Amino acid sequence: MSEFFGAALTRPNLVAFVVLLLWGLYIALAHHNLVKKLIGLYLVQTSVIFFLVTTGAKNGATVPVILEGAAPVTADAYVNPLPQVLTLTAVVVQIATLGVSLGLVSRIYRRFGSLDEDRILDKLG
Amino acid sequence: MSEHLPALVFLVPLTTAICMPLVGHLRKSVCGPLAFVAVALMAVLSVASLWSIVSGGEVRYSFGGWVPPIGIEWLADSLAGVMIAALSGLAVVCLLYGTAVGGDTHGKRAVPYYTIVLLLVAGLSGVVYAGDLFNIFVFLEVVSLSAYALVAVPGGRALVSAFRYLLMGTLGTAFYLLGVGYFYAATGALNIADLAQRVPDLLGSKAVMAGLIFMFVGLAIKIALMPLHGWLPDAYSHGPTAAVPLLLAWSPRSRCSSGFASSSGSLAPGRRNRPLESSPWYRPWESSRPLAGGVSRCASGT
Repeated sequence: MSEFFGAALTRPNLVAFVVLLLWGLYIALAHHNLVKKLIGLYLVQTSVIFFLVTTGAKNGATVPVILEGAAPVTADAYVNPLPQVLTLTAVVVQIATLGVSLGLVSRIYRRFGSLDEDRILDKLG
Repeated sequence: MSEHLPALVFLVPLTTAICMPLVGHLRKSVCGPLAFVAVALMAVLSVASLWSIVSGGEVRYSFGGWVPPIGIEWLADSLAGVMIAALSGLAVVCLLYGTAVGGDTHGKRAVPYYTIVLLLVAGLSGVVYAGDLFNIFVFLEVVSLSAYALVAVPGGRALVSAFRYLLMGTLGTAFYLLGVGYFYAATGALNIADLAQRVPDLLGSKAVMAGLIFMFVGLAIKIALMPLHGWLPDAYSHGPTAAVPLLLAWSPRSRCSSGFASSSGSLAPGRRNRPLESSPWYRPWESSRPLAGGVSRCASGT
C-alpha cells in the first residue's frame, strides 16, 4: 500500500488527474441542479484533456518548434506535440458539447420553470 | 474516381447539411426533399463504393495525400462498405417516412431538423470509415451531439430525456477519449492498423488494459449495453419517430465490430487468435442489428 502511495507521489500530475476526474464525476452524478451537473461534466472532460497533455510532457523539454539552424533534432529536447494537437480537437468538441447542453438547459428552464431535477420530475408526473 | 468514393459518400450529406440553413432561409418547403435527394445520392454512391470494394478490393483513403503514420486514413473494406450501404438505405427509408408519408411535420423546426439529420448521417458514415481511434472519437462526438439535439426536437418530455442522454453520452465519450489516451501513451500509435500490430505484445501492460477497459465502458454507455442503458428507453420513446431508427443505427454498434474486427481481421487474415477479436467488442451479430432494429422500428412507427 505504501509502495502504491510512494509511486503515486512521484507522479503528482496523474494524482491531479484522478482527483479532477472523480470530483467531476461526483458533481455530475450527485447534484440535483442541471447546471451543476454540467459543471461536473465539464470537469470530467477537462481532466481527460489534462491527462492527454500530461502524457506528452517531458522534464526540461521545450516547445516543439524547430528553429532555423538548430543542431540535429533530438526527441528528448522537445515536448511531444501530438497529444497537444489531440487536445486542441478535444477542446473544440468540449465547447460544442457545452453549447448544446446549455441550449438544452435553457429550453428546459423555459419549459418547466426550474433547474432542479426533482421539481422537473414532479412536473413530468 | 472510385478511390474517392469513401470521401464523396461522407461529403454529400455534410455539404448538404451546411447548405441547409441557407436553402431553408430562401424557401422552407424545399428542405425535406433536398435532404431526401442528398441521402438518396449518398445511397447510390455507397452502393457504387460497395461494388468497387467487392470487385477491386478495399480502398485506403489518405486525406490530403498524407500517408498514415502522419496523416489520417479512412479504410473502406468490405464490412465498412456493407455497413455504409445499410446505413444510407436506412437513412433513405427514414427520410422517405418523414417527408413523403408525413410522419412528422416539424413546422418551423424543419430547417434545423433536416440539418441535424444530415449531420447525423455524415457523422455515422465517418465513424464507419475512420481508420484511427482519435478520428473515431471526433465522429463519435459529431454523431452524439446531433443525436442529443435530435432527441430534443419534439420538446416537452423529450428535453429531459435528451439532457439525460447528453449527460451519460458525454461521460461515455470522455471515457473513450481517456482510453485512447492510454493507448497512445502505451503504444505511440492511433492508427488501428498500427495498433493491431503493437497491442498483442503489450497486453500484459496495465496501461493497455486500463485503456481497453475505459474504451469498453465508454462505448458500452454509448451503445446502451445492459447495466448502462438507463438513458435509452426515454430518449428513444420521446425522440422524433422518423429519426429514431437512425439513432438505433448508432454506429458504435457497427464500429465495435467493424472497426476492430475489420482492421485486425483484414490486416492479418492468418492470425485468427487476435486478442482484439476475443475482446468483448468483437460481436459479429451486432452488425446485423442496426438494420434489423431500424426496420422493425420503422414498421412499428408506421
